[in-house]
Amino acid sequence: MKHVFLLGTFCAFLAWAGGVSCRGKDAATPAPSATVPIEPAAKVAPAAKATGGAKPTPPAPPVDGAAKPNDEPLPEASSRLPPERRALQVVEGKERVVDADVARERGLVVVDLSDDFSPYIFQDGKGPGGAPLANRYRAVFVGLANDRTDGDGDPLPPGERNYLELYGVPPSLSVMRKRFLEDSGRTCEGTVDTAKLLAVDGIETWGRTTEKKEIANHLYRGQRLEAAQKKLGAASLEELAVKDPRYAGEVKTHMRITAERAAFVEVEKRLVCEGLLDASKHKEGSYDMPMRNAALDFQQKNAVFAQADLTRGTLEAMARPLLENDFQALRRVLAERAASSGRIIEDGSAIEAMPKARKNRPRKPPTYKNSAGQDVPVPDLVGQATDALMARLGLHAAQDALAFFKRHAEGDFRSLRAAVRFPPLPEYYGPQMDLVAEIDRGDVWYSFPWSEKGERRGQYRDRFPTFTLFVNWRGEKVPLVSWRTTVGGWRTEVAADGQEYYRYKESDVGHRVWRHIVAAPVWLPPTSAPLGSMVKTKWIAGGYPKVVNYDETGPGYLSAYGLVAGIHEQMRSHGGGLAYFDNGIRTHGSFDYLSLRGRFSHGCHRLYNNLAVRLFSFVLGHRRAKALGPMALGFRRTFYWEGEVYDMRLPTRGFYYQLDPPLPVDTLKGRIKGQLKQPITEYMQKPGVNYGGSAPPPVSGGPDSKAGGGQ
Amino acid sequence: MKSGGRCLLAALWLCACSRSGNQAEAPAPRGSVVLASAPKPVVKPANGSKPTTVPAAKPKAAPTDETAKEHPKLIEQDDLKTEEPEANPYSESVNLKLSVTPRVNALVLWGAKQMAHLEAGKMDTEIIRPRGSGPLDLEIKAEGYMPYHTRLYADRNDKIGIRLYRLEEAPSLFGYKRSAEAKKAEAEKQK
Repeated sequence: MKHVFLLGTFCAFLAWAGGVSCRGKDAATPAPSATVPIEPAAKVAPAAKATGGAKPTPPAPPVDGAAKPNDEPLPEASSRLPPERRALQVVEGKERVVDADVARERGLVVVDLSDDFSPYIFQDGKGPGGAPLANRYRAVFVGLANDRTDGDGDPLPPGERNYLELYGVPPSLSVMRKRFLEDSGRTCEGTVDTAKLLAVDGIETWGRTTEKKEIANHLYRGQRLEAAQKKLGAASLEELAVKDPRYAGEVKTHMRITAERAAFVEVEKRLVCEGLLDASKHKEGSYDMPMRNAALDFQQKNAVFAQADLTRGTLEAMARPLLENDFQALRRVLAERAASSGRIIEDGSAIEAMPKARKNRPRKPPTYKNSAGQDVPVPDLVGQATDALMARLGLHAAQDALAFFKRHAEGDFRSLRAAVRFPPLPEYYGPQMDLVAEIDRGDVWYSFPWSEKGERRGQYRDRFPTFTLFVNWRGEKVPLVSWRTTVGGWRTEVAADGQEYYRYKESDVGHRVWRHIVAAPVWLPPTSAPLGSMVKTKWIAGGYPKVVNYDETGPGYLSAYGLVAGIHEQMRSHGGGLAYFDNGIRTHGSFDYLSLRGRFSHGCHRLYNNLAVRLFSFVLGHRRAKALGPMALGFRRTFYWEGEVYDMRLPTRGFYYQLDPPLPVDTLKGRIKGQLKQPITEYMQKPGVNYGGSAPPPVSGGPDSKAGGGQ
Repeated sequence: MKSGGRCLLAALWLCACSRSGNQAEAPAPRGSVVLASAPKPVVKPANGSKPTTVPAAKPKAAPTDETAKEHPKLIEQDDLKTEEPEANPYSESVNLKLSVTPRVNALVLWGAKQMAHLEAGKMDTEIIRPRGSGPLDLEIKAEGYMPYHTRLYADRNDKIGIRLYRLEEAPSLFGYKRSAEAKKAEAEKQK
C-alpha cells in the first residue's frame, strides 16, 4: 500500500509545482474549446454588490463562451502610457506593448510579471470611506522574492540569496533572470558524471562524529573482502558472494557504499560548479557544514523536498543541466503568477477527491454539468493557463527562456505585464461562487501509540487527510482541488507542572465556517512555549546581538500559521442569539513542508504555503469579502532568559478579511481505526520517563495551542 | 539569514545522523540562530536509582458530543478591533519613540550602532527611519541593570515605554524559573 501514499504525495507535489496532474495531460485537460459548449456569459451568477470597505477586484477572465476565439493583435500603446497600463503582447513571435485596459476589455488576462508582484491576499485594501488599509507584509514578501530583505524586512547581506520557494515565496522574475544568466555561463555538464549520480538511490551521510568511523569501516571492509577474494580465487566481489554466501551481505553493503562514495564526489563537483559550494571552505569527501548548506540551498533552489539529505530526488535534479532546472523553476514561478492573475485554482488535483476505482482502473475524472446537461471534466486551469502564458511568451525550452532574459534588461521587470488569452473559465465561475471546503481526516487512531512497556504500537494509515474545495453547481458538489493536509494527533506538551506529557490534539469534526481570513497571521505562543527558542542571535547593523525570535510568531513565512490562515469558527446559540466560537483550528500555510507528508499537527490543517496563498486569494476573489485591515493585538510579553530581559511585542494579529456570508467548512470524522472510538482527553505520561509518582495535571491550552509553533 | 540555517544544520550535524533521511523532522527555517533548544523537563531519579517506566494511566474517553471536546472561545466584538488608521500609511518615514525608566544613564544600541545615550532628564528618544526599512531590534544597556531587548516596528509610527530591571528583580520576571532550570540541566548534562 506504500505506493498509494507515494503516488498521492507525488500528485500533491505535481499539483504544487504548477498544476500538472498525475493523470497525464490527455485525461486531465481536454481542450476546452472542443469540449465546452458555448454559453452566453449572462448565465453566470450576477456580480456581488460591493459593500462598504469591499476590496476592489480586477475584472475576471471570460467565462465559457465569452472568450474571443483568437488572440488577435491589439493596437500598440502610446509611449506616454504609464507603466502600470503597459502590457506586453507577443504576436507571431514579435513583442509589442499594448494598453492593459484594452487587453482586459478584449478578454485577455493581464499577467503581472513585475518584481513588485504579490499575491492578491497581500495587496492593500480600502476601509470605510475609501481610507487605505496598508497590508504591511506585502513589502516583506516583495523584498524576499527579490532577494532584497530577510524575513523581518531587514536588508539581506551582500551575496545572500533567499531560496524560499518551498516556503511559499517564489523568486521574482529579476531573480530568475539573474539565475539564468549566471547559470548559462557555467559548464557543469562536462564536469559532472551523471551516470555515477544516477547509479544510486541516495547517498548515506553521517554526522561529524560518525563520518570518519563509517568511512574507515568501509575501507577496512574493502580490504577484508579483497583478501577473501584473493584467497578464494574469485574474479570479482560478486563472484566472492556466490562462492561463499557468508560474504554476500558484506559485499552488498560494500558495493552500495562504494557507488555512493563515487556519487558523492559528483555531488561535490556539481555544488561547486553551480556556485553553491566554496571549495576552499570544504573538506573533500566529508559531508561537512559548508557542503550541507550548499546541498540545502540546491534543494530549496530547485524545490526538492529534502532537508539536506542526499536523496534520489536530489541526485536526479543534480543530473539535470542547470538551465533545465532553472526552466522548471521558471514554470513554477509563472504558474503562481498565472493562478493569481487569472484568479483560478483548479490544478488537476481534484481527481484525488474522486472515489478510488477498482483495481487497475483509472479514477473517474471529476466533472460538472454544463448548460446543455453534459458532464464536462473539471479542467486543470492553472496548468493550461501556465501553458498559454509560456507559449505566448515563446518559452518552450530553457534556451528560449535564456533568450527572453537576455532580451529584457533587469529594469524591464520593474513593471512587466503580459497580455495573454487564458483558457475559458468553466461555467461555474462567477464573482460569488457557492464554495464549500471539506477536510477528510482520513484514517484516525485514538489509542495511545505506546504500550505499557514503552513499545511503539503500529498505527498504519492507508487514507491520509485531504483538503478539498468544492463548488456547488447545478445540484452537484464539484471538486476544484484536493490537496494533502494534516490533522491533529499525539503531540508532546509541557503541562502546568513543568513536565512534558503526550496529549492527543484533536482536529474538530463537524460544520464550521471561515468568516475570517488572515494574511500574514500572528501566532501567540502559549506561556508553556519553550522560552529558549524565543531568543536568537542575528546579524544587525555590524553586530551580532541577541534578539527576540519572531520567526514562529510571525508575521512571516516561518510563522506557526504560515503566510495565511482561515479561522474555523463554530456558530452556536449563545445569549439568546447566535455567536461565533473559536476552538483554535485553522486551515493555514506551513513552512514545515515535510510535515505534509504524513506527520501530525496540533489540530490545525496545514497546507503548503503557496497553496494556502492560492486558496485564500481565490476565495477572496470569488466571494463577497471585506478587507478589515490590520487587526490590533497589542500583545507584549516581557521575559527573562539567561541574565537578560526580552520584550516580545506583537502589535497586530495580521491583515483580516471578512467573508459575508462565511464560507462553510466541514471536517469529516474519517475512519476511526483501532479499539478506542473516542479520543483520550488527558495527558499521558511519556514511556520511560520518571514522573516521581505524581499524576498528570489537568490539560490546559487556548486556541493558539493548536498551531504549536515549531514544536 | 543563511547563517541561521547553517547553524541549525551544524546542530543537526553534530547530532550524528545515521542513514540519510532520518535526520531532521522539520525543515530548517532560513532564519537566524536560535540560541537554546526547547528545554526538556528533567526528571531526577531519587537516590540515583534508574528511571522507571510509569505504566500508562487508564485513559478517559472524551464526551460523545464531537463538537464539545474542549471549550471553544467565544469571539467577542472586542477581539476584533482594527488598528487605529494612520494619518498617512504611505509616508516615506516613520517616527519611533522609546521611553525608558528609571532615570539612569543608558545606551540604546541597534546591533553595533549606538542609537541614543539616555540620561536623567532625557529618558526619551525619537528615531526617524524610512518606512518599511525593517524593525529595529534594540538593546538598552545601563549599569546595574540587566540588558533589555525590545523591538520598534518601522512599518508604522511606533512607540514603547520600557522599565529596566536590576538583577535582583529577575526572580519576579516571567521565565526566570525555567531559565534557571534549563541552566541547571545543561550543567548536569556536561557533568
